[in-house]
Amino acid sequence: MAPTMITTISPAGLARADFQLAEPLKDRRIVVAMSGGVDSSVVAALAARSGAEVIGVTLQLYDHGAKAKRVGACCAGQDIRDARAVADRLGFAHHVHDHESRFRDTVIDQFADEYLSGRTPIPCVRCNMGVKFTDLFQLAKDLGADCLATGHYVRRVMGPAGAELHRAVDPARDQSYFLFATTQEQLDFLRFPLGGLEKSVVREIARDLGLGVAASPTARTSASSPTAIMRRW
Amino acid sequence: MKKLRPEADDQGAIVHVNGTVLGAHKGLIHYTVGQRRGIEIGGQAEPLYVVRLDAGKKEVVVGPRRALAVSGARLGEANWLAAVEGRRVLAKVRSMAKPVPARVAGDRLIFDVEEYGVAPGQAAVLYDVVDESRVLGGGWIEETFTAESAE
Repeated sequence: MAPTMITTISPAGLARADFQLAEPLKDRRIVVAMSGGVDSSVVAALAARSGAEVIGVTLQLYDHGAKAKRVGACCAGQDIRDARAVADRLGFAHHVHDHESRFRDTVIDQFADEYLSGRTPIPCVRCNMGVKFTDLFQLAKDLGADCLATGHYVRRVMGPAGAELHRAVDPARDQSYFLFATTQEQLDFLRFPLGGLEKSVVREIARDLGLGVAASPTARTSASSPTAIMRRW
Repeated sequence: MKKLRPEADDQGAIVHVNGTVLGAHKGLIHYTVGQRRGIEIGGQAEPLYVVRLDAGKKEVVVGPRRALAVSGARLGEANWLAAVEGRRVLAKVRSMAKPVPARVAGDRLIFDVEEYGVAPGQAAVLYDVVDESRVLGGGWIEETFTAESAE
């Protein structure tokens, strides 16, 4: 299917899904972090529609085969095949980046250490802000991208002193608490096109695209308590 | 956890904030600050909550709800997207908590009103008081202070 199939999205919705890049977009390259879920697939579709060149990247996390389908699992709702299928359908390149060893070293081990020292850790924050962003950031730069777009529900707003991080417009979807450690340097390069959209609009876009991922695990930051996650390990 | 850290034998005593040993617990991993359920101690005059986990002594420290009141927190590994020193902010200290008024003094966050359920290891994320949608940054809660020790 061709990218031009996004025809029924309200113009207002699309206008707010802005990649904040200098015109003309045909000269720009957007790297999209694709998890295989609805949100990042919609970002990929919006990027493809923008006219820029798009490259999808997916991080292969720990023990992928066994845990990828577990609904609500933190950090594990990835499905490389779904991401690849979306990229194929939208007609852009897709790379898989092996991430398992570093993820194990930094996120899982740090979580275990924190827990044993009597703290209440938030694995998803470490996961989002640590290895994921650092690796994706470097990968996108290596690919010559003008920006790295993700499916996070936060907004990047251009203020008088540069890019600012803001809550998503949909309070039920806001992920700003989990992204506080985004550095100014990262923020300059990142784009969050879903932050200005309601979740229902995102679902509508997904449906219109026939993305086939509507039932995939999403909301990886909210479903499991740290204790529940650790007990599964 | 047992698979990741087989050496993690962290069983120990349940101790009241007043120093009384109330019993034994089955491991620090089973407890979270602010938790009320799962403290299997009978005959107490008022409900007890987990106030603190002392990893060094392997103690679960429990107390009445008022012992959970925190007036400030020390933040580590802070990331700032704006100047925050001395600034009045709205601080969110748990993922589901409503942001509360506070101010920043060095590496400390001082709440206008005592806050409950502030736990080391959670993030404190600060928002602008005028534009409440703007994230100013945040840090990891390293330590909390009661009313007497905050200033």
